Amino acid sequence: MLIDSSHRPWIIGASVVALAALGSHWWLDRQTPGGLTGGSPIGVAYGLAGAALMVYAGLLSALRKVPAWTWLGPRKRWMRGHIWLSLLSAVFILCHANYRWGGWLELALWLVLIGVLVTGIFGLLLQHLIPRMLTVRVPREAPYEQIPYLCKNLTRQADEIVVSAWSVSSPEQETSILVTQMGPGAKAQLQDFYDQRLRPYLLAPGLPSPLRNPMKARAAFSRLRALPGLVPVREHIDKLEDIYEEGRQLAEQERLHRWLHVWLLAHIPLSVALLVLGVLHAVMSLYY
Amino acid sequence: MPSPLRDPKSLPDWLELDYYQRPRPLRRWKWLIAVVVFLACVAIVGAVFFVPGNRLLYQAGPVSPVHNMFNNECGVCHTDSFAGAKRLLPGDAHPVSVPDSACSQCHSGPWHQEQQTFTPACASCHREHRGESLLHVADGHCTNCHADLKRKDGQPSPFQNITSFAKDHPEFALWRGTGAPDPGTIRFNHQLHLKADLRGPGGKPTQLDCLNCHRYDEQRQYFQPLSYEKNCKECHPLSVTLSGDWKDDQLKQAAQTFGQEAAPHREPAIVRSVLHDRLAQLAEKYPALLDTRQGTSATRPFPGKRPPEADPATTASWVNEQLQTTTRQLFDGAAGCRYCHQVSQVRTPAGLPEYAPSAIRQRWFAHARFRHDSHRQLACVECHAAPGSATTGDVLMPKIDTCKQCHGPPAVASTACVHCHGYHDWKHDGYRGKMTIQEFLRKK
Repeated sequence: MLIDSSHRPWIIGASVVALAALGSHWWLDRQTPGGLTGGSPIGVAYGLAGAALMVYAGLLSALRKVPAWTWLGPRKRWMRGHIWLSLLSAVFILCHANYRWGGWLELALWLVLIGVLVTGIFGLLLQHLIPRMLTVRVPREAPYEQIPYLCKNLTRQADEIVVSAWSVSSPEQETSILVTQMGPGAKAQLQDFYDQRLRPYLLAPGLPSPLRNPMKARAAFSRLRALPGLVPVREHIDKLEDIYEEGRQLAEQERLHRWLHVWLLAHIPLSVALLVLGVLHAVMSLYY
Repeated sequence: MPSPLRDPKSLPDWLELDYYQRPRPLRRWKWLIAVVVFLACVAIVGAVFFVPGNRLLYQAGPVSPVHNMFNNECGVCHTDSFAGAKRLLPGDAHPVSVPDSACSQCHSGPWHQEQQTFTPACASCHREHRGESLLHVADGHCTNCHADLKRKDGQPSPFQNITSFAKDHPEFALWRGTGAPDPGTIRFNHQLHLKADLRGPGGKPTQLDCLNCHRYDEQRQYFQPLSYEKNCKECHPLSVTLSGDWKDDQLKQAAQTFGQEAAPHREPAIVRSVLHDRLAQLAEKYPALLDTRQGTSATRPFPGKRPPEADPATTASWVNEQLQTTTRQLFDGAAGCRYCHQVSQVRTPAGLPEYAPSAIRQRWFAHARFRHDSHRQLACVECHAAPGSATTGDVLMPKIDTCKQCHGPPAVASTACVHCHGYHDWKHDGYRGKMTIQEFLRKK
């Protein structure tokens, strides 16, 4: 999601509420002998407000389960709320805790909350930057889930191209020192390049390979084209290079896509931990 | 730029049409980790909850040092379940989760003032779980009432509009009245005693300072009571001079030694008895003293008095004569007891003088605490104008403005109410501990 002008009302609203919360907390803290505590009625009110905002932020994932409930409003609006109200919740929790770390449980809650916020902000930055990078770096973008299937397809196509290259007739073989660069010798080089480098790369573009570097790959293809014996199959080599480029872009897409979503592996579990520890904190605080 | 290898017209050739039905690895990992974290949190919470001795984890802060032994026994103080929730309900006058009855198991906490209209709950002032002393009570708890104090009897109070020490604390009670002088009866001149050329014991030049006489008590809070024996005797011994015609050097030496030994600083009857005994012992030791009576100045009458009749030269008569002389020096002489003490006009039937009680006040500010050691960096005269005091009636205590120089803006010394005042009136403390050690430990 891009932070664009449509976020302005949310930013202004959240900022105003945050300032009001901080200001009222400052004033109430001065009015209360000994200062406010999280357990005082006012402190609890701040805690409840912060918890409610967190629950709202957490409902975003629940919303995905009920896409038919359109009466809940557009998902974009929920996303904006998720971002700005969860940041606002931290302000309320700060007031609730009276700017203290508290005991061990509260300290754990703080760390988890900070973790949730940091991973969320990190994710927001990634969501902001990576789609633009995808547009620039991966013009041949494909559905992410299709990438392995497409790679197999590309390999199959490449296999056919290489096989067909052998059937192209070559000039009479020469038994000169150029034997490795003419006729079957050159095709053998093409086959070797394909078997050793291109095919493994197409099957698993994410694994380490010299072809991950497009400059080196381009040089390798140029070298093949320069072989006298491969002049008749240059068209085949061009097709192979095109397939390589497709595979390389799919690999780049996979890599960027992983970055785009991997932060959720921390964000969601931390949110779950925040929920469990928050409930425990509330129960124990109200019990005693 | 679309891929030339993926013609949209042949979509089914290069696209798996059921791909969305297959599990997605990233999403699977996401939920797997979330479930593991959830279960781990629940397991840790459960383990912590059921393993005894781990209540510390739930505390918002450590308890005060004095309650350390109850750190893991929440129920000792938190006697009601969900008291934290109940106090949020409207209509609760004491929004605290620990009832006073829990505190009164071990503490008394007598009331503050009999005219008070409101008694706060213990825990509203003494905040636990802050890791600090429970005696750190915020000013707001005091000014909650004292900013607009109401009394049961409806009478006005001099303490009814106090919001802070620096702003509107009234002048100290000592200075709010008519300015009564120091009620002490011991004639004392601070100015004289602080002179630079004072003569000390043996006539040596001496420079006294305040701490020569005013010595810290063991807590270094206040000063030890002043006493003649500790503070005055060295320079003002109660010595006497025997009368007689001292021709024999040995006798003269004995008389001088007798005189140098100070008389006790006690009631006149005791002083006279002690002198009598000492004189009798002296006469017994030096019988020749009886022969020194002739021509002694002691036989000279005071102006307007009849001369005493001559007694036979017996030990008893010598002792009586010397006793009369020495007690006269002490009781009637200008350098005797009345040099410092106020003597009454009427004598006792035994003819002895009566002196007014010294009435030296130990504490001037009865409703406040003070710690001299905390103010040791300051010269005493910054608060006590002793160098200018020449009379006993001078009150040398500071006024509130003296304190406000440091305890108030722009200086930053504390102005907390509890630094000087206590809430509970311990005269009404009726708590008597009845627990056995075993009972106490079971409660723990």
